[in-house]
Amino acid sequence: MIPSRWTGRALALLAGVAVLAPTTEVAAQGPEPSPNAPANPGSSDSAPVSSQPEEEVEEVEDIEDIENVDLADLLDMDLDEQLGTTEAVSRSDESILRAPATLTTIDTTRIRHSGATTIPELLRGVPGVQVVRNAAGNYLVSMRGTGGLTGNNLVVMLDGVPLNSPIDSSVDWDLMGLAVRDVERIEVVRGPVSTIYGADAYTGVINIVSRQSTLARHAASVRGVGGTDLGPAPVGIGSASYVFSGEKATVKWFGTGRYDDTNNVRDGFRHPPLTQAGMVTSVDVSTSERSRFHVELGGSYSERSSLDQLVLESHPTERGLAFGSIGWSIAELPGVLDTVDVWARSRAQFVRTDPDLFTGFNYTDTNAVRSELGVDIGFDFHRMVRGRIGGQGTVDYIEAPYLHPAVSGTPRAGAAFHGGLSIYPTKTLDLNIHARGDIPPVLGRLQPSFRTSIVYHRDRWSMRLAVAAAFRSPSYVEAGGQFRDPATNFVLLEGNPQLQPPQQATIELGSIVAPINAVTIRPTLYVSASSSQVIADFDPLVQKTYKSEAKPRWMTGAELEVDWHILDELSLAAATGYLRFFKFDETTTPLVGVPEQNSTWTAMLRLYGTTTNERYGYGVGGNVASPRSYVARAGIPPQIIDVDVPYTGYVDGRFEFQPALAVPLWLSATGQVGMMPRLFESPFPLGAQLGGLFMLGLEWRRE
Amino acid sequence: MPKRPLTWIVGVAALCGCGPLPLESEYSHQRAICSMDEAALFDELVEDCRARWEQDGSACAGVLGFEGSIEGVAVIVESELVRTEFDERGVPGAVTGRAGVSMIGASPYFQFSLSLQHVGGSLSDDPVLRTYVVPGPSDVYDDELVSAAIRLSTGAESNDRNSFGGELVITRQSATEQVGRFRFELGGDDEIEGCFHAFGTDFEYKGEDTSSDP
Repeated sequence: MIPSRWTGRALALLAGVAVLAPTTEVAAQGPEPSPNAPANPGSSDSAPVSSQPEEEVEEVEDIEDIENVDLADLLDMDLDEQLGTTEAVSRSDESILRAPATLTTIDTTRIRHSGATTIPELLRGVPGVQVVRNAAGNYLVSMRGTGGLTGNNLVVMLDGVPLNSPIDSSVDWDLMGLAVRDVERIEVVRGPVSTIYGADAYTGVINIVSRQSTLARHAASVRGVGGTDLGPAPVGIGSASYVFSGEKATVKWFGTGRYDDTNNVRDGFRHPPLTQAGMVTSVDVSTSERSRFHVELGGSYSERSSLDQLVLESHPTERGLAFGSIGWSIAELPGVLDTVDVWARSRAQFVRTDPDLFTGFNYTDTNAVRSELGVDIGFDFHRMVRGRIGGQGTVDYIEAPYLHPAVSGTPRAGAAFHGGLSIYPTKTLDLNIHARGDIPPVLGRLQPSFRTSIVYHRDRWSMRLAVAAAFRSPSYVEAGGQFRDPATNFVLLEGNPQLQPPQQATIELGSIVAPINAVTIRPTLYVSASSSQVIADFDPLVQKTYKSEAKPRWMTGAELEVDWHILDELSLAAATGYLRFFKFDETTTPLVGVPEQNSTWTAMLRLYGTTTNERYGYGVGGNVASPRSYVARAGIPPQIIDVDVPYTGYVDGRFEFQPALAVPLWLSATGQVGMMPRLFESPFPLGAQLGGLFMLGLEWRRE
Repeated sequence: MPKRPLTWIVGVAALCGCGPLPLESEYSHQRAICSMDEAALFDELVEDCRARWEQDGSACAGVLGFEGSIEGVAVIVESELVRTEFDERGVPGAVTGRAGVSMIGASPYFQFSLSLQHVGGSLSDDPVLRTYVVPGPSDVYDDELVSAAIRLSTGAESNDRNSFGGELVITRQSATEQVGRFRFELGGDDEIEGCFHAFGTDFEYKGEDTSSDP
């Protein structure tokens, strides 16, 4: 018998979630859930709907009660309910308590009361995640010691749509198209997850979820924020949103624009300011009781500093990103068939700049499109066994003057297929195994990945042991690049099509413990081996290219997160992470993407909350990162960059209040102060410098 | 929109861009023009260059090729020289011999300059056969010795090799041409072997020869 899913919990989870998620379920009749779901800080805002067997899942209160849960109610909830569910770990709905990977969820409340003004700034407090700001709008985000100067070792998604560049998997964080205040939650999955998300998700995945539908039929907001740094130099951010939640459809629209010239000066040199505008819109329709149709479109444009691993000059560069996704899903199919999801998505990117401004290399005249088509099928064999299979096809079209002529302008295809089983032999034990085969367009051959896990869970705690292997496809630049000197036509840097895909295997032991309902503690230990890392073999003058490292590198790490719902009006979040490389070949020339060879640690502490009547909100917190060093090749023609980043840290705070209860207007004040690193801005000296940001804001929001 | 879009998409995907990137290094497009198998090709390139050099004294300065290993990289170079400078003993109209030759050309990755000094010998339109040992670090002046230097550069960086050992064979040394073969041991595992047929585009006259060359 197929378990029924049409409960109030399903509404809480499903409304507004992209149909791209393989087992998205169709919303039943009734109002959509509030974005401010369970009050347990740091946990998913979705109401707990588990893909585990029905009889193990308890009925929960109506979503309205979850939204307004106070401390007393929280203490009555079991841990599974508190934490809620996620689709980020396995692309199928599952309990966070029983998810087989390390997951951090930055929820609405924490986002709303954070001093962060960009999405990367929100990520600073996540253990195992490193964030570096090079200039306004120019960020590098990496996970667990991998990807320091390239930022292309993880997959970043917006509502399930990957936004990594098709060319080199880098991420333009200024092109998210979504203001921070319109982010419902951010799910950060750490560890190898290629088996779920394909190539490039080899250190983890970051899924940004746009604001969900609301209890009210209409919800709208308009915001304006302005301020200055210590310079002074200005920053201004405007955004607006509209969400319509109907019985059968949810329509969302978000728009944002930003001008930012803050913290842009390094030793007398001023980086170009950021000018950015973007929008995201989606329509989610229940076409029947069991089926749903979803469309999402987004686009963003920016002009910012060109600073990059291969571009050491900082000049204005225009970048644009457009994406779209369409999907149809159906659930409660007869027999062992459970769900079917058919989806298609595409993203296009361009880069333009004035070549005359540059003496060296720049990315101008880059155009890239990646389109994917896929299907995912879920099976429900038995109350103790569930499975899923799926496949997808990919087509890339890249045009760039720095790619080999045989690659630029030639469509390339790829494919992937995956399968998995989840077995529940007892009510407290979950066994999961997933495997995937990818044929990335650049690689052109089959590359496997897998993840297997055991999760033991009880009422107040769970423990998981997971083993996973993932890979990153060599980028078009690494495998098919051909950088020529415009003056002499010499090949300054050449791709290597024989590169092996960098791989990472991890064994991880993690736990979620709630000694009392108001406190959750999430420790994780892991050991990883990275192999076939890409070496920037740029020493020989006669041919500079990339090679694969022969020997593996070993690292170990620990992460700890604590969330404490102290009072109804006060929550605390703390986190720390430690990483150490303990076996590696010191003689290998600089690697692409694994620059740190030494121990690093990060720590974060944050207090935040809202008064009971929600007229006042506040948050204050800080994070610090240990010194780290990079020895990398940067620029074209490549030169050694020896970077020593000292201690860096930030303190930020935000306070908002509603002056008059009858008027839906909030005033806010935001401040950031920090020691910010300067990174690979050759030939500038390196170190840290004091930076700051102070902003005042006005928000009209109505539900 | 195609009538059967799915079929079209699958067809496009199947026809284009599957498999590893169809790329080779630029070295793979260079020909081993100094090998015995390519002797006819080398001659053809020389004659083509000669025709242009005779029309315009600087349109082509010769042909040079080499292959081997430099900086641990397997290289093969097929180059049309852009400049050949003859260092002549004597004065214009009364040249008594050749002191040195410098040849400049390029590969897809770098420009090179091959300099042969203390070549010696008289000029003749007849073929000659003179074998030298490239002296290496000892740099002793001798009839049977020349010193060689090679500079590789991209503009942004350069790599100079001199004082290396090897062998040079000159097969023609006339007032306007220099032809020969070489094998140079550049140090470590680096070694190149090649040939050249150079046409003079620039001439330096060193007056009376003060070296120990005859």
